[in-house]
Amino acid sequence: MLLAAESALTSIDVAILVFYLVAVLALGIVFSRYVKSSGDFFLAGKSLPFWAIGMSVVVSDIGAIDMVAGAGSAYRYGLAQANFDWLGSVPAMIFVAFIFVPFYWRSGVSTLPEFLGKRYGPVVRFFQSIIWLGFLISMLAVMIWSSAVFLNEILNLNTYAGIWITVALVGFYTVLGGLTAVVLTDVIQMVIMFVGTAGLLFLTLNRIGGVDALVETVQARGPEFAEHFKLLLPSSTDSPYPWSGILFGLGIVLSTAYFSSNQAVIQRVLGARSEWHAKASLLFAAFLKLLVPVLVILPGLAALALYPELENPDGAVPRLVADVLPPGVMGLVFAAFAAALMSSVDSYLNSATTIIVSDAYRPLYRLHTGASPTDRSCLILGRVLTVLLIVAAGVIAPVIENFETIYSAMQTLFSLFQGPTLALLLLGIFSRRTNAVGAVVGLITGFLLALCLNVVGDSLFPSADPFLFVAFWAFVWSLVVTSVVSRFAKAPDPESIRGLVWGSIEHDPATQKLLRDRLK
Amino acid sequence: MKTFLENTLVPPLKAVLDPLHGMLDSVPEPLWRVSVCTYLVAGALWTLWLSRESIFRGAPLEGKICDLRIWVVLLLIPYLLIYAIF
Repeated sequence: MLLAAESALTSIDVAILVFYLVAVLALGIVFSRYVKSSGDFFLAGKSLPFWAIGMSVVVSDIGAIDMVAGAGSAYRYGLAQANFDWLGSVPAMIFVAFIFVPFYWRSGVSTLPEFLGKRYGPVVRFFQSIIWLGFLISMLAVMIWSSAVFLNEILNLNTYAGIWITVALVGFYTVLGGLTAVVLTDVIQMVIMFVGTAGLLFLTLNRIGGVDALVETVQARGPEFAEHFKLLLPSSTDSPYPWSGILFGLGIVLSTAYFSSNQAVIQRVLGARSEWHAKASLLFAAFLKLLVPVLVILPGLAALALYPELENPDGAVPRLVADVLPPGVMGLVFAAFAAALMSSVDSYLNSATTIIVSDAYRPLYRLHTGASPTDRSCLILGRVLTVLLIVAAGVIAPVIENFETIYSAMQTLFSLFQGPTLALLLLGIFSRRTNAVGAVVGLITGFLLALCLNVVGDSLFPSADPFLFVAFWAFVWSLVVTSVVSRFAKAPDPESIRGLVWGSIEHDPATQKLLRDRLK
Repeated sequence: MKTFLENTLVPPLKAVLDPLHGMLDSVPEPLWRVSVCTYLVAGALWTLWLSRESIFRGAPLEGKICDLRIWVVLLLIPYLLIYAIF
């Protein structure tokens, strides 16, 4: 992928990259001093400021794969790709900041499966834990593989050596420093990523002759590029991003589901030093999101102006890197790619560990012994699991090359759960009447409907790859079915949902006292 | 599987979805923009009605700089400009 750039890599570039990797390692050692309990390891001792969490949320959201594929998609479909960071982030982040964050904060949960388990029982918790773990672990393997390929192409390093260097490096600082190390290295990684990609964009636009020249050059390529600088495309379009799908599927359903249920986001937010910092972190992240399409999407459009005949649009950024960057800046851009990779790996690793400890170890321990596990045992288990998971992901990583379909299937499977999960979450928070029977039926039938729509989507929806419409209708279906089925089953005992439903948190004095005590 | 679904699921769903898609197709371009901007505004400005207590809970100080309602309004401006222009 980045092979073309290899020959241009100078000793200055390699030195910059190596310096960056060593600096990240050193940070892990520094942060290890502050981890004394499982709360420190999983939630950074609730000490993180809003700006660090905001930067960490943004950088974890953009992997190196996204940087390459996002630019490739912009090359193919144009500016509409930017909707994923703009309309697909801002309303959802505001909604999550003011509705879900205070809710998670005050209800004392640390994972989405834990909340859904408390609200709807163990069946829903089991489903959610399995799907999230499967997603996180498969993503880990893919990212480690991408990292190895990246190191192979720029440093000519053996792929297996690349895998185990990534495992050792990321595993080292995540095991030692927990969430604090993950978030604070993310801060540095975000700065490097933004500076590196901004350098690439500046030099590329300089070669083209500025933004106006970019627009003119692309639009002069022919009528098929007339809409390449439009954010909103007609409802019936060959692009997967029609305005209706972007508004209903992405803006309302997928983005809200992503930011309200993604463990990597929830965990960072719960590590904030106060509820205000938790809310402010997401608003700050939404500010930073403004810049992401400029740095990720514009290089794709710039590549279209310079190289209109690329067979594989995903090769747009690597081609720019090879052609445009001088020595030194190239090292910085490669460090930016490494930062994007590592920030995603550390986030998914820490999140997967948290789900296992919170949703498997703690409840099973209580079931067998009747008591809660000690904090020390949770901390040790967290560290052991971090090692085991990253090693397991390292072992699985080479298989990814041969079984790319496993990854694609996992991604598709995960996306099918998004709409139904959001429906359960919203009803669980806002409706006292919704019960476990309704939730299980809504989740399973919503998933099945999404699966069916995914198979026959081409015949039903106007756009190519209609995943946005599939997510929207699965959400609507689950919302209706869960509400209706809940009406026919026994309402949940008010005591069992105390502190878990919005109305009781806002208006019930007994619940408010319970929550105040919990926060002390 | 696909053939079975094409024969059983697609016809009834098509009868419901086709008119909806036809309606969405007929929406003029300026209205797409208005719809998206309305969603952005509605999705953000409801926070202005949140209580002062819930906005400042845990804030380092109770000044304007920590008023998250002001943050929301400032956040909304560039996004509205982007969707109004592009």
